[in-house]
Amino acid sequence: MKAALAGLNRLGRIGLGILVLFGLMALAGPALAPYDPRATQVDAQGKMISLSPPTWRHPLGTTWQGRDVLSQVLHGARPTLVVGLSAALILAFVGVNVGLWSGYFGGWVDLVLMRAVDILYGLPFLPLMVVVMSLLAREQKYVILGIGLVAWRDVARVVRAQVLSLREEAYIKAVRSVGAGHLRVIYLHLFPNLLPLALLFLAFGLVWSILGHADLSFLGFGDPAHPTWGDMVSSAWAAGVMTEAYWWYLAPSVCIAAVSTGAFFLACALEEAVDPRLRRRGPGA
Amino acid sequence: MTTRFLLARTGVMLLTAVALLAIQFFLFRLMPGDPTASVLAGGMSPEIQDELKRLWGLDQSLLLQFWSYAKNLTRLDFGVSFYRNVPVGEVVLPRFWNTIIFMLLAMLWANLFGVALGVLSVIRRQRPLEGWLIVLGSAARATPLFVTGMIFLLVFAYHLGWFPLGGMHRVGAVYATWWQRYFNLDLLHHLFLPTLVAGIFYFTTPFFVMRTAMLEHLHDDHLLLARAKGASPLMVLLKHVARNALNPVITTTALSLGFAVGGQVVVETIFHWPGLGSELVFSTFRRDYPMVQAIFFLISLTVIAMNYLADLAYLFLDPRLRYEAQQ
Amino acid sequence: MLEIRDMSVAFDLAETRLRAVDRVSLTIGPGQRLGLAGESGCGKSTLARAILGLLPENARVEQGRIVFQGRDLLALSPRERRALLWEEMAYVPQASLNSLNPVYRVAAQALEAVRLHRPDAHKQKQEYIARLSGLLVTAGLEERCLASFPHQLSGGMLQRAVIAMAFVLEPRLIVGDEPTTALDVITQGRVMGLFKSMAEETGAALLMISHDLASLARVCDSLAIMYAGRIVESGPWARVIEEPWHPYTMGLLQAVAGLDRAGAVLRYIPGAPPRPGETLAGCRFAPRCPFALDICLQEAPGLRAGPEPNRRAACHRLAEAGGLRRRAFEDEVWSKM
Repeated sequence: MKAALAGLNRLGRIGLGILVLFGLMALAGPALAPYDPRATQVDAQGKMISLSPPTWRHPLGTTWQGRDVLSQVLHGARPTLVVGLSAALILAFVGVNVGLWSGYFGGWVDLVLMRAVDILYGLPFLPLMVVVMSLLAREQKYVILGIGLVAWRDVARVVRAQVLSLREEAYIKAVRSVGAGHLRVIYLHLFPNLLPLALLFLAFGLVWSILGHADLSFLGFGDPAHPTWGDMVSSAWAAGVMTEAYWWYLAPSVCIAAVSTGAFFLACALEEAVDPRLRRRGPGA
Repeated sequence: MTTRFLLARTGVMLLTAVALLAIQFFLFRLMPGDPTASVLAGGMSPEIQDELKRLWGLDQSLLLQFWSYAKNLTRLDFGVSFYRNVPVGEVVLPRFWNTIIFMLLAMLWANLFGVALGVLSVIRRQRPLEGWLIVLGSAARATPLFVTGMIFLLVFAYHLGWFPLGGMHRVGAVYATWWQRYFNLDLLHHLFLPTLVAGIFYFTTPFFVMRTAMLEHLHDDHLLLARAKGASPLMVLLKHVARNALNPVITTTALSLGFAVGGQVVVETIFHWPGLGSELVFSTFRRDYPMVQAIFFLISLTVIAMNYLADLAYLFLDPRLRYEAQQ
Repeated sequence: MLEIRDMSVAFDLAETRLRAVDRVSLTIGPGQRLGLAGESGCGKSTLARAILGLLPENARVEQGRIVFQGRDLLALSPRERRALLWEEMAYVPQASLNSLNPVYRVAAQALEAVRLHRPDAHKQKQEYIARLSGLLVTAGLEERCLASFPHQLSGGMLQRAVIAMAFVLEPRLIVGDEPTTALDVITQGRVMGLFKSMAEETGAALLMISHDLASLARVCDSLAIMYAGRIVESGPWARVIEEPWHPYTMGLLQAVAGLDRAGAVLRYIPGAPPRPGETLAGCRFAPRCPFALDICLQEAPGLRAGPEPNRRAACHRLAEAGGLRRRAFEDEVWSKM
C-alpha cells in the first residue's frame, strides 16, 4: 500500500484523498443527515419552510418544497459512488477481457470484437443513455449497465494493443511453446501484466461514469428512487430559481465537480505511473 | 498500403453505419416500453388502432418494417412526428445544421485553448505554472458541463448582461436564406457563450495531447541544428517542437468531434440552443419516437463520419503514409 | 582566431558530476582546417558543443576560456552568443535523416537561419534564395532540392544541403561533428571533399570531429588527438601522421587501414578507455600503453612542446618518441599487452 502510494505523484495522492473523503461520506452520510431528505420542513407555526437561505437549523438552506439541502447532499454521495464504481468495474472488466481475447487470439475473434468496438464508437454516449433510460425504466441498474456496457470500447483498444506487444515477449512465447492452455496463458501470464492498466481504466471509468450519471440526472433521466446531486441541480434549474436560491445547487455542483476531479487526478497520476509514454486517445467515453 | 488502408476504413465505416441503423431500429421496436403502445393506448377503439397501425405500417413483419424504414431514410424521409404532427425531416434537418455549427465553433475554442495552454505548460515546464495548468486541464474535463454552463450563464448573461440568456436568434428575427441564417453577428452573439462552455470542457484533450507530443519531441535531433542557427530556446520550442506536435492534436480532434456531438445535449439544453441534442431531450420526454429515432440516427451518423474523418486525417498527416501515397 | 584555454566541461548527473572534457587547450587559426579525432565517448562532441554554446541542459563549462575573434565567449550573454551562431560559427551535425525538421521544406529551414541574423532577409529573399541555390549546386545538388521536404532526400543529399546551408552567411568557422558517419564510404569521401573546397573558397576555418582518422585525411591540414577528455597530441596533419609522438596516436594509426601505410595489418589497441568518472592519478592512457613507466601511472603529463614547431604531445617519454615509434610498428608490442 505504502509503495503504491509512493508511486503516485502529488496530484494523484490529492485525488485519492478526495475520493476517500467522499467514500466516507457515502458510508456515513445518511446517518449524519439531520433530516429525512424528502421530508417537508415546517416551522413552529406549521408553515412550510420553502427556499430558506442557510440558517443554523438548515445550514445549506431548504428547497422549494421545503426539504433540507444538507441532508440531500449527504445522501447524494452513496448513489454517485455506487453507480460510478459499479459501472467502472463493469467497463474495466469487459474492456480488459475483450482486449485480452482480441489481442491473444487474433484472426476472426479479433475481427469480430474490433468491429463491435467500431460500432460502439459510432454510438453517441449520452443520447444513447437518454434513449435507453426512456425505453426501459429510470432505474439505477440500467444506468450502471448502460454506462458499463458502452464505455469499455476505449479500454479494449488500449489493452489489445498492449497484448499484441506482450504476445511477442520471449517468456510468453516460451509459456505457449510448453503447451500451456489458452486460458492459462491469458489469465495467468498475460493478465498480471495488464493489472496496472486495468487499475488506470478503473479510475478513468469512474470519471466517465460519474459524469455520465450526473448528466443523465441533470437532464431528468436519473433514478427517482436514488436522488443524487445531479437531480438536485436539475430540480433547482427546473424550478427556475437559479438567480435567487444559490444554496440549493451550489453544494451539489461543488460535490460532483470535486469527486470527478479527484478521480481524474488519480487517473492521470496512474497513467503517468503505468507508462508515461502511453498516449491517451482523449479522456472521454 | 494506403489504398488498402482507405478501403478498409471505408468498409468499416459503411458496416458500422448499417449496423447502427439496425441496432437503433430494433432497439426502438424490441424494448419493453414499446413506443407504439404508448401512442396507441388511451381508449382508442380497436378499429381505429388497426387503422393507425396499417397507416404506420406496423402490421407488417419487423424485417419488412426495417426495409421500408431504411428505404425511406435514403430519401431523408423520417416519418411523421407524433407530437408535432409534421414530417420529422422538417424539424430535424435545420436542427442538424444548428448542431454542426455549434460543434465546430466549440471545437475551435477547445483547440485554441488546448494548444495554447499546452505550449505554455511546456514552456514553463518544471515551474509552478505547469502544475496549475494541469490542475485546470483536469478540472475542466471533470466538472460536468451543466455546472460550468450554469456558472457562465448566471455570470455573463444574467448578471453582466453581455450575452443573451439562450436561444439562437433575436426574437422575431427572420432570415431569407440559409446563408443569412448562419452568417450574421446576432447568431455569433448567441453562439459565443454556449460554445465557450463546451470548448472549456473539451480543451483538456488537445491540451494533454499537445503536451505529451511536445515533451516527446523535446529531444529530437533536428532541434540541435535549429539552436545552432542561433534561434532562441523559445523560438525553437514554438517553431520546431510545437509545430511537430500538432499532428496528433489534429487526429484526436477529429475523434473528439464525434464525441462532442453526443455530449452537446447538456449545453444545448441549458442554453436552449435549437439543436439535435435539446430536441432529443424534448422529444424523449414526449415519447415522440419518430423524432427520437431520427435524431439518434443523425447524431450516430455524424459520429461515424467524424471517426472516418479522423482516420483520413491520420492517413494524410503521417508523413510516411503520405510519402507512399505520392509514389 | 579561436583559442581554447584550459577548458573543462562537466555533466551534472543524478549523484555525481562527470568531467567529459578535462583542461583542454586548442587553437585554430584563420582558414585552418583542424581535425579532432578520438574514440567515441572521449569528449570530442562535448568540446564542440561547448565552443558553440549548445551544451545539453545538464552540462556546463567548469573552468577555462574560449576566445573567438578576440571576444571571450563565456563572458557573453546567451543572446550575444546566439548572434554569433551561424553568422560567425556554423555547425554541421552528424549526418542522419533527422538533422532537419521533417515538417518544413529545405528552403524554409535555410532561410530561417538567414532571417535570424539578417534584418534585410525579407526584402532580399530572392537574392538569398539565389545564393542558396548556388551553394546547393556547388554541393552537387539540384536547385529543386530547396523545395523538397527532408524525407524526399537521401542521407547524402541531406548532408550536402546542410553543408550548403552552413556556408550561406559566410561564417569564419564551421564545426562539423561526425558529419559523415552515417553515410556510405563513397558519399563520405565526396562530402568531405565538399567541405574542403567550400572552406577554401570562403576562407572559413574548419573544426572537423571524427572517430575515423581516414575520413579526416582529405580535409584537414592539422590534427588533434583526444583521449578520455584530454588532448594527447596536436600538430600539422602530415607530421603527426608520419611521425606520431604519443603512443596512443601510434596505436590509433596502427588501427587505421589503408591510410597510405600499405600492407599494414588492421589492429586495435587492446583494453578499453577509462570509464567516465574513473579517476586516474597518472596518464589516462597508461593502463593501455605498452611503453608505460612507473611515472606514467603516478603523474599526469601536460601537453608539451617538442623539438618541432607547432607540435605538442602529452607524454612523459616524449624525448624517446622516435624509438618508441619504431617499436610501435611491431605487432608483438601491442599483442603482448
